[in-house]
Amino acid sequence: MSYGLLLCIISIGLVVTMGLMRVVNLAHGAFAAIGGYLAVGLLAPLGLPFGLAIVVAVVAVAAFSVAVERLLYVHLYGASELDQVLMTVGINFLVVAGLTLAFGPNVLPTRLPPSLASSVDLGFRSFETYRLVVFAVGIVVIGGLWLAFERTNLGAQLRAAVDNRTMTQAIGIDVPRLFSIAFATGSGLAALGGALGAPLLPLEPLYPFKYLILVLVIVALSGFGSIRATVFVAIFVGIIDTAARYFLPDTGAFAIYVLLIILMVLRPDGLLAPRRST
Amino acid sequence: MDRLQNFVLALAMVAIAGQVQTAGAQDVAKIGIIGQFTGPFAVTGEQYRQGLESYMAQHGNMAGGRKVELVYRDTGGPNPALAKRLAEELLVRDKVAILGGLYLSPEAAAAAPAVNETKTPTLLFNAASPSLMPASAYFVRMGQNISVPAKIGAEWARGQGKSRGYSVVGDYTPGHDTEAAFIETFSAAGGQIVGKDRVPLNTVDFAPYAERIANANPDVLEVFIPPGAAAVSFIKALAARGLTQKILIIGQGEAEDSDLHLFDDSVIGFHSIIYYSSTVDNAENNTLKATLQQKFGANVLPSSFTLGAYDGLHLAYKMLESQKGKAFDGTAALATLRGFSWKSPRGPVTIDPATREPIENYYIRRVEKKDGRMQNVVIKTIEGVKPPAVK
Amino acid sequence: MTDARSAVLQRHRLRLLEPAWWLMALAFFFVFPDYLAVATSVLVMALFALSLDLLLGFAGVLSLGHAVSFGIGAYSAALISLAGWKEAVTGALAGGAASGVFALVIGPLILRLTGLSFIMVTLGIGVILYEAANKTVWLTGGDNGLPGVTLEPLLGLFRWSVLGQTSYLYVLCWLLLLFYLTRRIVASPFGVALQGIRENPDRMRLLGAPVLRHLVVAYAISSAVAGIAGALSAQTNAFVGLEVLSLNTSIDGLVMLVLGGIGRLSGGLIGAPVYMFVQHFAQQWNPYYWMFLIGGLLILIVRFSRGGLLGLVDDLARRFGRRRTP
Repeated sequence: MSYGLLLCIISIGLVVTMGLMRVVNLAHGAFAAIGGYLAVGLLAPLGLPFGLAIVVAVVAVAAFSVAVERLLYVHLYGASELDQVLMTVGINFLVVAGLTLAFGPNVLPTRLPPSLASSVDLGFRSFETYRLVVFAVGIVVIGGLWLAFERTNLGAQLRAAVDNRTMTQAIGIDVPRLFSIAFATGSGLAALGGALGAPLLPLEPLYPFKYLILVLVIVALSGFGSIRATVFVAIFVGIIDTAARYFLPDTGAFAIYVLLIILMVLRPDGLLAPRRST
Repeated sequence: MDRLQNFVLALAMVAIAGQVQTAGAQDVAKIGIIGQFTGPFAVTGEQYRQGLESYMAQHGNMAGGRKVELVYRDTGGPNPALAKRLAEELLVRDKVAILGGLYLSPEAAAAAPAVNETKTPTLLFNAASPSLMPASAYFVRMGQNISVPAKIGAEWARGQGKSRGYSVVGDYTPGHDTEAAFIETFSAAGGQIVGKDRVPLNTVDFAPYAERIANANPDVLEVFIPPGAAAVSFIKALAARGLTQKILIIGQGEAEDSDLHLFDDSVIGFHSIIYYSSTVDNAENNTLKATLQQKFGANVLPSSFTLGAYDGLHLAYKMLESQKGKAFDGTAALATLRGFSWKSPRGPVTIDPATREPIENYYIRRVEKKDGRMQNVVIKTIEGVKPPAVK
Repeated sequence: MTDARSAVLQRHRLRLLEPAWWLMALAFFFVFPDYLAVATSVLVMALFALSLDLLLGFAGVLSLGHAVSFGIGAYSAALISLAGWKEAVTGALAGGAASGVFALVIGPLILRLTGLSFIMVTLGIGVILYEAANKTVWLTGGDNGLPGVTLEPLLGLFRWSVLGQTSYLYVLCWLLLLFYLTRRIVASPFGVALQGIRENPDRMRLLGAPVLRHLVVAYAISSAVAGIAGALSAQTNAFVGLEVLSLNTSIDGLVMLVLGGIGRLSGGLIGAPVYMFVQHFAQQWNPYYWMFLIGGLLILIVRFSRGGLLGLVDDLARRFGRRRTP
C-alpha cells in the first residue's frame, strides 16, 4: 500500500507537468532521485533530523527546478512530442551521470532514525512504523493538493491557464509565472516522493530510469490532468502490481503493462474519463 | 558554423589521441578485461579494478620480461552480443595475449567461439555457469561453479535439521542453476521443498515475495539475488515481514563485507556460502586488505569479485612467466596452469587439470555485529571442494 | 511530370554529397580492415535508424518500441539458421517479413491512437515482448541468447569470418538497396500522402485519404526494414541476445536519427556513425562522460538545431550562398 502511495506522490507531480502543462516530462524521476539523494546523501550525515532533511531537500529541488524550467522546459511548451521526449531523456542522462559522479554507482545506504525503524502492532497485523508514516504523509499531501487545486484561487488560475492560455493571459494573469509555480510544485512533489521513499525504494543513479515507466503508466492511465484520477490509478496500479507479483511471481511483473496496453487501446483518454464519441 | 566545426575538431583530436597508444608487440603483453563498469552491476567492475590494481601494486607490472598492460572494456549491463564483439576486437585488433573478466555467464558463452578460434587463455573472474567449461578448452575459472554453494547449503541445512525448504532466485541463468542444485540436493537428502520463486531482475518492491514466503512457512530459505540495490531491498522486505528472525536464510554474494554498509541491522543473522570471506586469516589476505585500504580508502574491503580478478592476474603472470623469452603461445601457457596450486587470500587453491575449475575452500559465514561494525564471520570452513565435471 | 511531383523529386534528388558517403563507406573497407566488425554494427544501426525515419520523419509517428521490429527480425533470422536453412539473403528477407507481418497485425489496433497514448502503448509492447522473450527460454535462449547462428558462404563464394570482411560488404549492399528503395517510396504518391498525414491528419481525412490504412502500410514497411536490420545483426554477430528487444535499442535508434536529422532518409547514415564513434571513445575515457555527452547533445539539438547535423550542414551551405532547392 505504501508503495502505491509513494508512486502516487511522485506521479501527482507528473500529472501537474504533463497533464496541466502538456509537456511529456520523462525526466520527472530525475527530480525524485535528486530529492532523495539530497535528503539522504548530504543532509542526514550533516546532522539534520530526517524530517527536516526531507523538507530542505524538497524546497531545494523545487527552487532548482524553477531554474531548469526557465532555461529548458520553457521551450517545450507547445513543442512537438518528439522534442519533449528527446530533451527530457537528455536531462535524464545528465542527471544519472551527475549523480554517479557525485555519489558513486552503488546504492546509497539509508538509515532510518531508530524511532521510525520499529514495528507497530495494529492488532490484526504488525506494520513497519515507517510505512505508516509514509501512508499518513501521503494522505495529507494528496488531500492538501486536491484542496489547493479545486478550491483556491491559484488552482483555478492554473486550470484556466491550461484550458486556454491566451484568454487567461488576456485577462491579466501572469501565465509564465503560473507555469513556473506549477512546475516547481510538481518537481517538489517528486522530490518528496524520492526523499520520503528512500528507505523503501533504494536510491541509485539509475533511479530515474527504473521508475520512469511505472510513473508514466500511472499518468497515462489517469488521463493526464485529473488529480483525483491519478490518486485512484496510482493506488490501483500499486495494488495490481503487488497482487500480480504475489499470485503469479514469475509473470506478474508485467501484468501492469498488459493492463496498460489493453486500457490504452480501449480507453485512450484514461480510465476514468467519460467515453468520447470519436 | 562554429559549433559543427568545433565538434568535428574535437572528434578528430580524440581519434588521433586514441591512435597514439600503440606500443611494440614484443615488449608489451596486453591483457583484455571485459567487465561491468557501468550499469546495474557496476559495483563488480569497480571491484575487479581494485583487485587488478592491488595485484600490480604488490607485484609490479612486469611479467616474463614483458610489460603488462590491462585493456578495459565495458559491457554496461547484460549484453552478450556486445561482450562477443568486444572480445573479438580485443583478440583481433588489440591482439591481447590473455583475456580476463566476464562477470555474466552468457557473456563468456558468447565469447567462446572467438576465444577458441584465436586459442587465447581466458580467465573467467566470475562467470559461474557449469556449462561454460565444456564450451571452451581455453576457459579457466577463477570464481566458482554455481552449483557448488547451493549444494553445500542444502546439505548443511539438512544437517541443521531443516526440513522445509524454499528457494528464491533472480530470474536469470545463475539463479536457475542455483535453484536446480539446491532443490535437487535438498530433496535427495530427505527435505521437502515448499516453494520456489524466480524474481524478475528489475524488481523494486519485494514485499509480495516476502508475503509468499511467509505463507509457505519454510524453515530454510535459499536465495540468489544480484548484489546491490536488489539485495538490500530484498533483505529489508524479509525483515519487515519478520522472516529474518524465524528462518535460516542462506545466500552467496548478496551481503559481502564490501557491501555491508549498505544494509541496516536487518541483515544480521544472514548466512552465506562462498569461496571467500574478508575475515579469512592468512598472510596473503592480510596483505591484500592492507594494499586495498592503502590504495582505495580505509573502509574498502575485498569481495569474492575482487579475488576473482586478483587471482586471475596471478595466473596471467604465471602464464607469461612460462613464456618468457619467446613468442606467447596460448595453448602452451594454458597447459602450465593444469594442477597449479598456490596460496591465495581465499586459502589454498588448485586448478583441476581435468576441468580447469578451481579446487578451493568454501566458507559458511554469518553476518554479525562486532564492535559496532557488521561483518561476515566464518562459522565453518569446508576445504578442498572439487566442482563436479560437466559433460 | 507535374509540377508538384517534380518538386518532391527535386527535394529528394541525388545531392552531390551523397555518392561521397557510399564511396567513403567503401573506402573504409580498405583503409581500416581492423575495424570492420564495429563498422558493420554501425551500418546495421544506420539501417535501423533509416526504418525509423520512414515512420517518424515521414509519417510523423513517434514510437518508443521500434526495437520490437528489430528484435523480431533478429530472432526470426537466428531461428531459421539454427533450424538448418543457412542461406543468408533469404534469411534476412524472412526476418523482415516476420516483422512486417507483426506490424500489419497490431498496426490497425494501435495506430488509432495518437500522441502520448501511442508512445505509451509502444513502450508497453516493447517491455512485454522483452519479458516474454526472457521467459520463453526454449525459443529465445532467455538471457543466454542464441549463439551459433552460422551461414553458408554468401552466394556460395564468400565465407564469413570473425574479421568481418564479408559481413561489412553484405550489410553495405543491403543498406544501399533499402536506402534507394525507401527513397522511391517517399517520392511516390503514397509517400507524399504520408507527409500530408504527418502535417495535418484531419485535413487528409477530409480530402478522403484513407489515413489509417496509409499509416498501417507505412508502419509495416518501416517494421520490415527494421526487421531486416535485426536479421543482419543476428547474421553478422552470429548471435542474438535480449538486448535487440530492449528500450535501450529503441532509444539508441531514435537518438541516432535525431542526431543526423529527421525526414531526410540520410539522417541515420550520419547519425549512426557519429553516435557510435563518440560512444566508443567517450567510454574509454570514462563511462560517465559518455552519458554527459549524449545528454548534453540531445538538449543542444532540441534547443538549437532541429534538423540535426544535416540541418547544420544545410544552414552552413545557405550561409555561403549556394543555391538550395526549396
